[in-house]
Amino acid sequence: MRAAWLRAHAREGPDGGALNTVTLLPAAGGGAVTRIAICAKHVVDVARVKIDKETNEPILKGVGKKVSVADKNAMEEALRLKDAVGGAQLVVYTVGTPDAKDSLKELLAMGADKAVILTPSVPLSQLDSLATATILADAMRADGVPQIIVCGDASEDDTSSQVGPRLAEALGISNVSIALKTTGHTDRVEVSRDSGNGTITIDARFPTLITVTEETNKPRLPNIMQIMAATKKPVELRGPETLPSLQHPPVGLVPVRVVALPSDRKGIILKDLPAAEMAQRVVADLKKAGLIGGD
Amino acid sequence: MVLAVFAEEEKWGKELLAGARALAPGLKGGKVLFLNIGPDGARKDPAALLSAGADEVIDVALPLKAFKVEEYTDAVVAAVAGCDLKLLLVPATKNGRDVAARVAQRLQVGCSTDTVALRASHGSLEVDRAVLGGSALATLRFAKLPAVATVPSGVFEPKGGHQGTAKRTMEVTTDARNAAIIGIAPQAAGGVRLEDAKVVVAAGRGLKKKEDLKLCDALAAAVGGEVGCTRPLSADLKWLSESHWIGLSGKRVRPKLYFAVGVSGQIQHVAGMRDSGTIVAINKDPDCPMFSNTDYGLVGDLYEIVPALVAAITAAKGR
Ligand SMILES: Cc1cc2nc3c(=O)[nH]c(=O)nc-3n(C[C@H](O)[C@H](O)[C@H](O)COP(=O)(O)OP(=O)(O)OC[C@H]3O[C@@H](n4cnc5c(N)ncnc54)[C@H](O)[C@@H]3O)c2cc1C
Ligand SMILES: Cc1cc2nc3c(=O)[nH]c(=O)nc-3n(C[C@H](O)[C@H](O)[C@H](O)COP(=O)(O)OP(=O)(O)OC[C@H]3O[C@@H](n4cnc5c(N)ncnc54)[C@H](O)[C@@H]3O)c2cc1C
Repeated sequence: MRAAWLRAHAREGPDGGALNTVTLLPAAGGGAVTRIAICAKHVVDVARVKIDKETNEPILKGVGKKVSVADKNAMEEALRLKDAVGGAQLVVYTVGTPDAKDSLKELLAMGADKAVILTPSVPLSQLDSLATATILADAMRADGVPQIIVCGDASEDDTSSQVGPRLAEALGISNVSIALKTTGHTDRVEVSRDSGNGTITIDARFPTLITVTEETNKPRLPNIMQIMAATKKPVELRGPETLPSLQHPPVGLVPVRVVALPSDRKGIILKDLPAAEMAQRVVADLKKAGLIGGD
Repeated sequence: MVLAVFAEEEKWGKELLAGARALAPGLKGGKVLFLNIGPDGARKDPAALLSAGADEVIDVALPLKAFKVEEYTDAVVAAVAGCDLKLLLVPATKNGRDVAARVAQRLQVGCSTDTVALRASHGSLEVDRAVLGGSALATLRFAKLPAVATVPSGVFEPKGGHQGTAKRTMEVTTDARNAAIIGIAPQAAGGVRLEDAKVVVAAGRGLKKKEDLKLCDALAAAVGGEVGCTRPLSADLKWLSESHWIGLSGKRVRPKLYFAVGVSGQIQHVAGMRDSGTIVAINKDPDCPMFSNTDYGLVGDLYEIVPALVAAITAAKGR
């Protein structure tokens, strides 16, 4: 356990310079990879959120919860990498309340070996991604830093796109965000990523962290046997007493309020008219507004 | 006291410099730095940045062929080390979000993603950003400074005329963390810059086949715009490249005029085009969500309405 932590930190040489080699921990079975982790968030089902007409606030109470979509892609990619590297223990970590168990079952059915729920001393709404990533990093260090970590690029509800890269930073390891494709080897993974203006392929030695989107792969659907077997897989509940960062999460951003976005659109709806007539009416207005033909 | 901007894109960098200048008094900040980080050939002309609002441009050359988050993080952190940093602004791009998150973690501070408004007063900072798939706006406060924020294009207006003068070159030792770039493939041909388009015609699943995109091409040509699309057309059907994809997980656009053609208007799509000037939607379903976010809703078959629009626009221009 301790060795993995040391390994993650050993690269910060005394002069702050780059060290080029990482010695991998030999695993009992001879393979280099012993641990793979994914991080998953239990989120409100955004499509079901209604707006309170009085306060103009979204009503989150009572809305169903589910696994954030991209985390199923994270699970799928982790399973593929697990096959490619020749097997490893695959653990799902979540920072949440014990009811996250419902979401985790789906990931256990897909093929995770174990789930860990990390519950802080404060309400979840007070955590930002600094807190979440710090807690995840501390838990992973305590268990032994996984050689491969897969996260979603963005969660479905708050979409801050930070937990993945922050976790990598907290562990002192590399990260490749928005993976299009991964190719796992025993000691490294090749990841092509969408950089926004082209595709970059990165060769990342373990340990490394990868974030995925819904486009990265197609998550497998567990069969009934796997779903039943998942109920017997261990889900570890770890409370605030297990980590200082769960007891006193470091928080950088505090939510003040959330309101529904107003729509101040004209809302002129034309129907039951011939296409040409609707078109002419709209185009006349657009022309008046200087939006077409004004050059 | 210092505010800093890091941007890979010069245009965006100028917008953020204007933002940093506007926020400086409220943050009791002084100097505005531009962190000109990147490989040789990819860094920007300091003169342009100095007149856009930077008091000082810090040049950091990285021995890389493309963006890689570990080295960029080291460079940003090194460039602001030792100064009393109040705020770091970074474009809300794929690379920008990545580097902002790592820098914020290293500094042990908060980071607001896709920030659409920033308000500074008495040394504290409040921000707005879209959440819940783009249907709601969250206001958040930074518990302490420095603050890190990624900001979409168009939030600040670039300004010229600033008389910054200082230039500095910094050597930074970076740590690749055992990851290396082994391949670079530039964006596939057929890429568009929807962010800069004055008019966008967004195609949705209301189109029955790829060839029917011609309808949208014709409309775009008539209004001098670019064609974009919803996620399924790019991600699933691959009719158009990813650079056309508009929405929460695609591009944010804010053209003067936006046409939604056979687009249902799910919140994740609306998140990417909500700030458009005027919105015209064509859909055969009068109850589609797009119609509650539109200026003009034309209910009917797009195969009739789009050609009719093209004809009406052509006629209007001729007059
Ligand atoms: C209205 C509102 C706005 C917010 N805005 C911000 C903001 O701008 N910046 C900020 O730092 N925080 C913000 N937060 C806090 C944020 O919801 C939590 O910090 C959350 O734990 C992580 O952020 P995220 O959901 O945006 O995750 P993202 O970083 O978008 O998630 C990416 C991936 O990280 C992993 N992950 C995320 N959360 C967890 C978790 N709890 N457990 C395990 N894995 C996880 C998953 O793999 C996920 O796919 C906001 C909260 C609210 C209520
Ligand atoms: C986390 C997440 C992120 C997402 N990010 C994005 C994103 O960035 N961008 C995005 O676009 N989507 C995104 N989505 C998907 C989004 O939820 C919708 O599924 C998608 O936008 C729907 O695309 P569409 O409107 O083209 O198709 P549909 O929803 O299938 O709508 C087609 C519309 O065409 C109309 N139509 C059909 N035939 C005709 C006709 N002959 N004439 C006129 N109208 C016709 C129909 O009435 C319908 O309203 C995301 C989803 C999730 C969960």
